[in-house]
Amino acid sequence: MRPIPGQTIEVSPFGELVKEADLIYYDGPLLSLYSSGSGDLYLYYWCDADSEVNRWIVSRVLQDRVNRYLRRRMTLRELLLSPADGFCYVNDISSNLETVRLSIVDPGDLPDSYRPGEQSYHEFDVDQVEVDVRGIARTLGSSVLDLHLAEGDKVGFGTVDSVVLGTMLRSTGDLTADIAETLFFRESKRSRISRAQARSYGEFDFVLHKAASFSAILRPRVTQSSLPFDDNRTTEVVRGALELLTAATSYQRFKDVAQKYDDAVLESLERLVTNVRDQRVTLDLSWADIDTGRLDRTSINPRSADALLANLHQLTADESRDLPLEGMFEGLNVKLRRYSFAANDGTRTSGQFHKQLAYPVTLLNFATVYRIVVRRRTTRVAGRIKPQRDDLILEVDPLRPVRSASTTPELE
Amino acid sequence: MALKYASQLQDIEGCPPSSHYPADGKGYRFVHNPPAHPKDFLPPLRRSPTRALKGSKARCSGWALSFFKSLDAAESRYVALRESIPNIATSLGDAIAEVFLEASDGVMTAPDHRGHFDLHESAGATFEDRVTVVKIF
Repeated sequence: MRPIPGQTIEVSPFGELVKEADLIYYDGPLLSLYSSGSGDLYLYYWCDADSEVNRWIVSRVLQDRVNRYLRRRMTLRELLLSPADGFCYVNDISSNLETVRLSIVDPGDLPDSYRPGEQSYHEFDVDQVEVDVRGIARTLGSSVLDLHLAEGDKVGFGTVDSVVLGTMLRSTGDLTADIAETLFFRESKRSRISRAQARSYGEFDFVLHKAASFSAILRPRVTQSSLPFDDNRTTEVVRGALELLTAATSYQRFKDVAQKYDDAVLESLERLVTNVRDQRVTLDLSWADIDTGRLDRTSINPRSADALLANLHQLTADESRDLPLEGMFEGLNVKLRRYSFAANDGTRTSGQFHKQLAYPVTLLNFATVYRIVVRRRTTRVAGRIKPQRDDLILEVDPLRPVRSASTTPELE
Repeated sequence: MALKYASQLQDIEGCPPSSHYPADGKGYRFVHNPPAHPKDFLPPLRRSPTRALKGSKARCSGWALSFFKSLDAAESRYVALRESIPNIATSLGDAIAEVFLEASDGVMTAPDHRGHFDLHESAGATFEDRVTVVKIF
């Protein structure tokens, strides 16, 4: 293999490198990106081989320039031949991955056959090395949730639009906190868990991020110790979220799983899925359980989000209609603006007065026949025994008194 | 059907992939011209020196021969590779050969969105005498 003018060095200056991605791959890696412990990025570019070694050009590169290359705003020629340090390395590596030669080289001394072409824009599939979520959990000594974002113009290699990241962190956090509240909030005297305490089992702290495309590593806010095979509460919450997201692509499965949760959870789920669809990103969620070493994961992308939302909407059918009724009030709570009402046709309704009701609630009594208009909103969630019904009085008109005012019961 | 590298594949989870099926139809492969180079019909993990192939997917593919479903797909891939890596001919060759694959040649994966597929050769498969060079770069 041809010699390249440069300064041979005996000790590698790179330290321990971790592969982040193969940027060009054909029958093996041809252009790979590695990161050092200090966060530096190094590009390994295959340029030659003989019967003994593969020859690689190694350049330290800046993340912003890598992203520009991956977005086709810069050629590989520009990226590789203008390294961050002003020089690059030529590294001959044997089959057993041992360095045979390593030298510091001026990029201007590289032969033409080692230089990418003028139009060397990125036209390849990036093969990213998966984040070792279990390894991170072991390092941190805690279970971790990896919120991995990929695809779309707003997600780069190790970078992400702040609004996209914030939206995904928020909607994922809302879902897990709502699930935690559903699972653990108890008001009974014997075992009282406050709402805030219950929600804390679904809350996380942002710990670090990894470039792949962008992984946010989250750690449970509440540290729990658990016996082997005894799931802790946060694990139960996260598995619940993953189960919901996985099941939601099949209507029948989703119908079964959704029964465990209340409307707040399903609304959070809808917000998360809608955000995935609207932000045009792929969201991979992985949970590494430090106690068992188990890894649970699921993924949702804009395409699967559409199917998921269709199932979600099929599951929840809202019905709203206005009922004109004539009859008398049976109960009134002026302070809470609540009522119960018996109509002449036998219909009974109880609920709340509209905030902007024209007729003064304090003038209502039990000795007058009223004509009212009630807006009845019925929410039917498949799998629930009873539909949820909310009645709201929109209008009240007094028609005629039926008893003397002295018989008027006291208002609450 | 016994595969040529069955002993190596048995240690790789999910290899060949469950979606594989008997080889069939034309395949296009990068070769040296004339295609007599020893690397031309060796899978990446049989070549020397090898490049590091880690992970079950990469190692599974490393025991297979790369082909393309069409000449256009092969040509566009080669042109893109050569623009980024002008010396790529040293590794892949400087030509494209066509071969008609038959079930007795082995099992293939479904072509990906770039028309590329892997062929896991059967124990007795040979190609050197059956290929025709259809494009020289």
